[in-house]
Amino acid sequence: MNERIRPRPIKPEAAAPEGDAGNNSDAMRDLADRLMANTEESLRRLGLANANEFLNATRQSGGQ
Amino acid sequence: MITVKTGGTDRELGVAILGRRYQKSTVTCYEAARRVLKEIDGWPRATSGVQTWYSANPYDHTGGGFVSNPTDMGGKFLLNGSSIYIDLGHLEVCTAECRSALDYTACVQAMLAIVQDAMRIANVHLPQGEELVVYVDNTDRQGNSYGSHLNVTVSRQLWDETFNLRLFPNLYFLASFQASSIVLTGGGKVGSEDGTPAADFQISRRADFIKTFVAEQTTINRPMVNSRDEALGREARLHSIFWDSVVLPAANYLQLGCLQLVSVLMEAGSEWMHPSVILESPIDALRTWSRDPDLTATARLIDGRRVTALEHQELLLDQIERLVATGIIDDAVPDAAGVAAYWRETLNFLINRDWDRAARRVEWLAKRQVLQGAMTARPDLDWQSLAIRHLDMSFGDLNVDRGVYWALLRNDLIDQPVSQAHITNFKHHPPSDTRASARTSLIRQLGDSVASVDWAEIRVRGPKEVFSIHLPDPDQAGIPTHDLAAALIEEKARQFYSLSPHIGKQQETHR
Repeated sequence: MNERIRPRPIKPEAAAPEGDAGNNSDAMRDLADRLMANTEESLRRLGLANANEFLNATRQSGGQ
Repeated sequence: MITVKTGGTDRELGVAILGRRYQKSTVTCYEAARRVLKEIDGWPRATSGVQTWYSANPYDHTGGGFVSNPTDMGGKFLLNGSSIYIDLGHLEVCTAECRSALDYTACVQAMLAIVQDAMRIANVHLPQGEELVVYVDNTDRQGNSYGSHLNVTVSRQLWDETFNLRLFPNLYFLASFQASSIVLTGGGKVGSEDGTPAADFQISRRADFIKTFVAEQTTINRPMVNSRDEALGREARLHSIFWDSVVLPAANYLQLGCLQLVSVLMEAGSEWMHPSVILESPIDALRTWSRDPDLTATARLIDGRRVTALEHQELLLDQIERLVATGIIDDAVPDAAGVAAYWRETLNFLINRDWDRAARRVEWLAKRQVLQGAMTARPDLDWQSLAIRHLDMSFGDLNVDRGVYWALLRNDLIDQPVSQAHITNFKHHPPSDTRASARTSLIRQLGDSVASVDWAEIRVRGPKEVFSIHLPDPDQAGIPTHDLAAALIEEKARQFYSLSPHIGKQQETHR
């Protein structure tokens, strides 16, 4: 038996997450642009200009 | 038997000192954890085991100290009923015992605010060019994971049937629920770890590290269902190590609220809990669904049918709603109907592809929207870019100027199911309807007589010896008055001298 379960119909206007860009998504994109500038400045200030330095600085010990 | 679902979390936080070049980060994280812990006032937690000298490294600015063991270092209890300590190099926070998922959500936010305040102070003492950071996360994206555990009181009968007798379908039901719950409560991360297949983005941070179905261990070969039996009261405690350490309030609310409802459904028994939602392989389903942010991948149920994670959550929630509608669990889970409604509403946002509303509650989706927004704004970036990886890690950074969550909060892009007043209250006070209230009340009354504190007892310095006052069960406030506390002290002192004259002086710790 390989039947697909459909407990409730999904609305026909459903779209994949990547294709949807509502108001929230627009705001997120604007915010992301600002955050990106901020994060790059932060990396420069701490001297973490490349991936190896960043990874070395943030490596954690294994926990629970 | 249905029992009151008192809950809480024990949660490790990522810590590091950025900008320090002469030490490995696995060394500086110990120092970072100690520096933050030092800035938080509290009463000493009871210690156990052999005391050993600990010093992180020869450049240690804060010095070493005597500790009991590497999983419970420097433990303190706070007046808000919570506890904080160092666990395997991570700063670990535990919320007070909570009856309701709303109180729990406020307690989590309060604990993060306390750590945030301590982090700011600790940073003042660091040399220029160094910065102490604290992450609400579960992994370093380099194969090292740390936990965010949820605890819920369950009846001893359910525990025995589940873990000792292994009666069908309890374990499979719980594991199946957890596997699909990630679509609501996953934290999201870029990439894959620990030898698992490659992925640009995953819904669950923890999925790569879940290796086995049921086991006691928590640091290696982590299980889907943890069988550690460490009750802190008369009933048993379900200690679930599966969860992502989320910072979005709605995600925290759903984590505990849903687990409370599922555990009460299991206690209600086969009349309410139907095995039709059991997955053929919950671990395989978890790995598949974690790598499916489009939410279209399917996993096989034991009857052969295939479902998406959203469809699986719907089937499960249908069972929950039938039980909630009877009203018979109202005493076990405060506002059970409200939790179930929030669960249903959030699920519908995802089912209807209403990504904007869903991203206000679902952390992995909020993170994915920010990361995709960054890549749209900067076409030179992709999932492998350092800046994207850093932005991923920055989501739960407690630095309000860099942490993505705080930016979302300032821009009113997330739902806040609890008020700021609720959160601020829990920075200073425990929930009034659980054992945390009794514990804090006793600490306040006994003051410097308190030798050490633990979840279920307080050890008090008597006239000559240290003795214990046992606290009530987790769901009992039992607030003692000053007179009661004084009477308890005298009574216990008398009992101590008359019944236990052979007991030697106990180990004391100091604030």
